[in-house]
Amino acid sequence: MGSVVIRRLFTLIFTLIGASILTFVISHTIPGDPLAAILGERAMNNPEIVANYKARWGLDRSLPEQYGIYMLNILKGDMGQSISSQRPVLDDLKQYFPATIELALGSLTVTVFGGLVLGVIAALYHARWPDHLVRLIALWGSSMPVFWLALVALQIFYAKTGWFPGPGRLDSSFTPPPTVTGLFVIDGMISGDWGVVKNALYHLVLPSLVLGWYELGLIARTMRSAMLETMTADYVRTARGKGLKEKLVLFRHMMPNAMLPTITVIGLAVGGLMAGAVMTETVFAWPGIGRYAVDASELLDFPAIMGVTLLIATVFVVANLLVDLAYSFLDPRIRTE
Amino acid sequence: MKKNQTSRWTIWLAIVAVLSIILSACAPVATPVSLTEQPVSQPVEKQLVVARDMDLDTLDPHHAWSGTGQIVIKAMYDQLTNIDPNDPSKVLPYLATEWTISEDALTYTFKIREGVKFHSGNILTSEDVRFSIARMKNLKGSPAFLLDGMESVEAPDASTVVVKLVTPDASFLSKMSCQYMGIIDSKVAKEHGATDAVDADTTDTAQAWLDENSAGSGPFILESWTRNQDIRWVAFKDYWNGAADVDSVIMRDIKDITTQRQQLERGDIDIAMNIDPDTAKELQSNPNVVIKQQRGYNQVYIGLTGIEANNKDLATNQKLRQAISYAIDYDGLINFVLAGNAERAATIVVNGFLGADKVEPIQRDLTKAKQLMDEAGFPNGIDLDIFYPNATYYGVDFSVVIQKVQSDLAEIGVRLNPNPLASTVYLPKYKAGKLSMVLSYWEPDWMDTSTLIDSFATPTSLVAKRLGYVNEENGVLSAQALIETDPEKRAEIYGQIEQNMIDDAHLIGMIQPNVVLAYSAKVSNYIYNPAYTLDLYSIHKED
Repeated sequence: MGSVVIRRLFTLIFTLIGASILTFVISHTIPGDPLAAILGERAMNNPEIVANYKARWGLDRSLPEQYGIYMLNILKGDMGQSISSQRPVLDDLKQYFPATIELALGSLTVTVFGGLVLGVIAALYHARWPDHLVRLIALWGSSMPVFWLALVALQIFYAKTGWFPGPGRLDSSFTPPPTVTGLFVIDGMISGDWGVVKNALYHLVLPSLVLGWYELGLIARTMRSAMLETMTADYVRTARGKGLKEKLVLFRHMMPNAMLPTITVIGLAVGGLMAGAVMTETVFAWPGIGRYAVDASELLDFPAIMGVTLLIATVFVVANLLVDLAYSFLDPRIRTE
Repeated sequence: MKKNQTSRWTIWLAIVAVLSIILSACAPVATPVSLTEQPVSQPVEKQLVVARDMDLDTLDPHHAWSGTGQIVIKAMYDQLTNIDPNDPSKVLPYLATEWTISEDALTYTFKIREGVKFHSGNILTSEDVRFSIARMKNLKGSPAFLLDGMESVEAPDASTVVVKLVTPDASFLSKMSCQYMGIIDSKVAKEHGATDAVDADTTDTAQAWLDENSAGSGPFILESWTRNQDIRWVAFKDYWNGAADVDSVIMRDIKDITTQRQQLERGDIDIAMNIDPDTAKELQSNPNVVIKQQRGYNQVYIGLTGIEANNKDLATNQKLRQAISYAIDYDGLINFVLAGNAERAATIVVNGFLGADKVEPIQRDLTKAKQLMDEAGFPNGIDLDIFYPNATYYGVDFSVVIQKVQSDLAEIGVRLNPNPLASTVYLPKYKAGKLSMVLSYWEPDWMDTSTLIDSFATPTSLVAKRLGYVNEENGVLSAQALIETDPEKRAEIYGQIEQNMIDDAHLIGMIQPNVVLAYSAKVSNYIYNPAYTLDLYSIHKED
């Protein structure tokens, strides 16, 4: 087990270096000038102001030099200054990431629980109406663009019926709780402000469902086909043959085996959630890493783009590490290898 | 497959579990009203909620440069002068109660208002004004160019500030009204690292503190700024001009227009700042929402021709440029393509600015345009590239405008080849003069015609240089206008420059888009402020 973790951590380092070089080269070679985005046209005409900005953001150096400086600073825990927010990228990430984590946890709950349960039902009722219904839900989720889903959800459940609160993490009348974790639900609990906790949870429902639906479909379909496969497996027949109760067959023999491919998909789903967060956060005015990434790329804010990429790459690698660990936990064969 | 009772049990349990997840998501929580309408955290007060797609870089007035900055910096910081919202060419006293201008128009002496308090409780003095102006210049931040023509600033006594200029500048008082010229509390700012020293660009460390605290004398005190989320203020009760009508303001960062619209309709926000003309039309029937259109001061124009693009036909052939300017169907563009949500601007000087009414805009004249094409030497027409940012500015979708222009010009044989570019690609190329023909946009940096003339008309103007536009007479006239103190005579001079610009046809004035205001019927006294977009101080709200 330990060697798996160490091997994965090595992979993490190489993944991050690869991702950083790729992002650095891409974001610096596409035509465009970040100064054009942040300085006014007249300020751009003042060589003193332009020189001052270029020096401030290191834009007056060569590309490899800029990359070298950047990586050296990263080792010192300094991710550079965001050009658009004019403050350390680390501060920006610290501020925005918790909002995304909160949203991702909400979505992951919807995705994993909903997906597993729906997948099992579909398999057990193979080729009957519950199966068709689940497949329809899965198809909807995977085929509808997240931003469109978000707009429709807001139109129906917020604008027309008022069942759910509008965009944002809290109603305007609430003051955000003092920051401890940055997750409003948790921080509300810590400060004992249950009004905030309820309101924050309430605000989480719609964006979580919208963001979770896509991956829910994926997991439900994977779980369904994995379950169908295990149903006809020899060991299931043997289990039934020796007179095991159906409940035990389902929970002890079928599900753990069907979970293995599904767990892989869940690991990948984390990446999907991060990508989906970009659109969901924009429509739901959710101040997370997704919106930060959109703003950064629109303004060609290199340090911010790099920061977001490295963070998401880390999340992705860590999620897959957890998947590997879960694998060896669930499958004794891998553990002994 | 055989199933016994137990397995059915399990399946039903599972179905119930999924249904409950789905239902808990789709149905209202038992008491939604108590969740949204009885906040525990804060007593109910008169709160104004504004939604805006916020492009806010910093709250330090001397570093900032953004559209949203116009609103939020004005809310916290006062300036020496103010602009009459109904007539942007009129400069009104603000922190300066009066001023005198020396004979040579080089020395401005301001009398500073007495008894003005900062948010800290400190009294505002001439030293604060001097410090702020000097810091702004020496920080060399984005707005520092506003003080390019300044030689010195001094505070000879507690209520007097003297500014000396290098060359006369009739627009100086107008520049002083810019939000970036905000006066900061020098004592408090210095405690947090601010300096007005010549090397302030490297030694001043107050920006981070000013992003979290307001050190001004404006009508609102900063409570918090959470980037990408919201900015919150409480009213400054000791404001020298009387406390604002609302007790607090939240400006929420909402990017999506549809979301803003939904929130406005639900009554969750009072003002939606990014409603486009189409959405506004749909909102018009809602009795709880007020939709108003007002004159805006931004402009969409065609620029000919990039100096580096080296398109000889466009650069040297004035008749060809004129033919293009006569072939465009401006009325059709504004009335049909833009549904009447804009005005026509004759040149870069937008309507409402001093001198704009001194010239007649060109109207479409196909016969004349075709004749000009013949005289220009292109009886069989010509192929031209046009470049533009693939975006919407001021509610105008550039690709739609291009389609119209393309079909108009086809009638005189000009075959236009549209090249949309991402904004971050477009701007640097345009600035480098590499684009032969552009559809571009501009917003005045301050509320005086001089900023537009200075940017477009003279041989040293930044855009004129880019376009390869040289008109020596404009340079002479512009210098005359800057020392002319009689507004009527200044207007006449600007009129001559504008006529030259129309004849030279390097820049074709086209669209001056209206501004759409969308707000709750509870809000009153909301008018579009040409200098600050939205002056939060002026807003009233019913309980």
